[in-house]
Amino acid sequence: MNENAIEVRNVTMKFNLMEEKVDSIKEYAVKFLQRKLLFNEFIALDDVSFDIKKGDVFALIGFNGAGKSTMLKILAGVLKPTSGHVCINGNIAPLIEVGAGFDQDLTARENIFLNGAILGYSKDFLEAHFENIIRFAELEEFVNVPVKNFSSGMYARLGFAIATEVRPDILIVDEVLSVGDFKFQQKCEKRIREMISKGTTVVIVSHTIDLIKNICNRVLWLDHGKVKEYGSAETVCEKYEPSKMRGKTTRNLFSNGRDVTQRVILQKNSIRQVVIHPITWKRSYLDTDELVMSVRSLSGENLYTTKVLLNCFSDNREYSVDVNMDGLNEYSAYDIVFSLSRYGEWEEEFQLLTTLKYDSSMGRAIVDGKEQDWSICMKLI
Amino acid sequence: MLMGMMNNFYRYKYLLWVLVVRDIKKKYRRSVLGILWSMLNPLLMMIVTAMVFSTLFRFDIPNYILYLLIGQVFFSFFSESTNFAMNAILDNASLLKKVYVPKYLFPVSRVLSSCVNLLFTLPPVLFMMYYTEQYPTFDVVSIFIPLVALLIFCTGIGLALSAAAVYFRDILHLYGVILTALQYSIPIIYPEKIIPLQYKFLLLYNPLYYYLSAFRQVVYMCKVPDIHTIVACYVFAIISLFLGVVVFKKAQNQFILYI
Repeated sequence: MNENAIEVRNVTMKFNLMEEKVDSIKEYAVKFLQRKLLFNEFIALDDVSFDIKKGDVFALIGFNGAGKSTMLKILAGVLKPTSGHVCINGNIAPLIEVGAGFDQDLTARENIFLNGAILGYSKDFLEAHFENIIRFAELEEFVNVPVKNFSSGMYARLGFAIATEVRPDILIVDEVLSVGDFKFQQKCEKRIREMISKGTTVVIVSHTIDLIKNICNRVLWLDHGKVKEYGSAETVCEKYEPSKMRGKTTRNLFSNGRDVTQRVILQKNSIRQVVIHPITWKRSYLDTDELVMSVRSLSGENLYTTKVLLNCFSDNREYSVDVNMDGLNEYSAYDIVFSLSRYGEWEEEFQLLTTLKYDSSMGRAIVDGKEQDWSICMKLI
Repeated sequence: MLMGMMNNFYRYKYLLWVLVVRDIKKKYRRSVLGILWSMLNPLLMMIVTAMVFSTLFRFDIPNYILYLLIGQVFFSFFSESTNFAMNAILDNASLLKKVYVPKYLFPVSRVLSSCVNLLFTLPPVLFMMYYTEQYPTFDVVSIFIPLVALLIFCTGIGLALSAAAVYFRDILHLYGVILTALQYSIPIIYPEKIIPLQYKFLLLYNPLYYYLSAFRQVVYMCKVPDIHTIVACYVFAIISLFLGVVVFKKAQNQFILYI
């Protein structure tokens, strides 16, 4: 089973920048004789190759004119590359412009069926999901109104609802999140996160580097049609837009009542064990004090929880907690959340060193852009 | 490769249906009489032409009304379907630039929706047969034999025209003139026998002549069309489809740069 959702090999795209478009037979004949037809080749993409694995959240960044939209159109099948080829495993829903496929004279209801059919879905599927689409787009009162009478916001909501209702294997998003008011943008982001957590491969073009750092795991930087950088989100984004030094994040520190969260990206649900090394213990603990570890999907859904009583720990011993994630859906990114639970207030500090052990035959754990045995050091302040 | 095409066709059959329904809805939306126009139009055309030609030129064709009607119904399907299909790619340009759709679906859907309109005109033809006392026998069902061939024929031409229209917009204007010339090249309005002998061969090389002849035999003469005509119809249909598919397939990858 191919692990790659998309494979791009040596793709080159050349356009003819003809000075004027040739629209008539006479002009064509004249220009042909004058040998002016194949003039001014513009190379939009130059020998680009990369892989996108299933479940990746992949971003394409680059300055304007770098070839990002051209690459997306090639992935969506709209353009055929001049040379090279693209191999795609799974069906694609493109959001290259919200509302592609809308016929102005038809009503919203008719357009849902038309647009859904264009994306390749059957009548039964569309009828079953019709209500959901209308509800997501908040267009209950306008179902039978011709789309030409819609405002631009309604248009965008309807298009987004249809394209994302169908849960494709691969979703391609081309800067459409910049359309619409901020409530709509929040809705879009939430939905995209849901799709990510269900394992959809997502390819995004965006200029919002914060968004990319938040949800993407791999990034490709295109410059004038050539691959400039290709790697994990943190490293490439850092090079593209170097951020200011931030203070030490609180992931290494507990404070009263707060959790410590570490985001981990794994290829499959391969966490096997959490090993805890208590470093310093100032005092003994109450019988009811617990260290709670939970594994959550990106949309906040709690996948797995385990608890360990603190008073059975003593210094310099390892305690391992087995984690059984069999039977859970496969996700590509998780949040591991640690919290200390006690009836009452914590008063002192202690340190806990924890190692995540994973089954390397099933995949890799990537933290902070590096593959590693992951350890987290926590201090209660 | 053919298997791939058939697979693709099957996968998108719902889209084809939606496109055909869309064309029909759009044509008659907001009109009071709606699909009645599909039935009335040929009748009205026939009445006007019959009045003009039976007073201006005396043809001694028995039951001239029926002779004219079936010819006009046939030709209006041919001209409407090919003309409509010719604009298929250009009209859907915005869609083709954003999402992958098999491009041949557009001209094909337009020929099919014109065919649906043709089916609406058949009841009036049947009615006129009764009215002019050319009582139809069961043989009249054989109209579907040349009809299917004509459908395939128009599909091939529609595919080729829609591809040509992308590269040379002139054809949009030129085709109207070609259609008018074709209309007078076959004996729709006039009887066959007034064509001078030395030009008779033009008819034999004109595919439309065979379709017209087949339709006429069913409706005007109330019999099953003869085997030579039927074979000719299907041969032309297959050639047209083949040429249309070849032209379209070669041209389709560059469409996006010109629409």
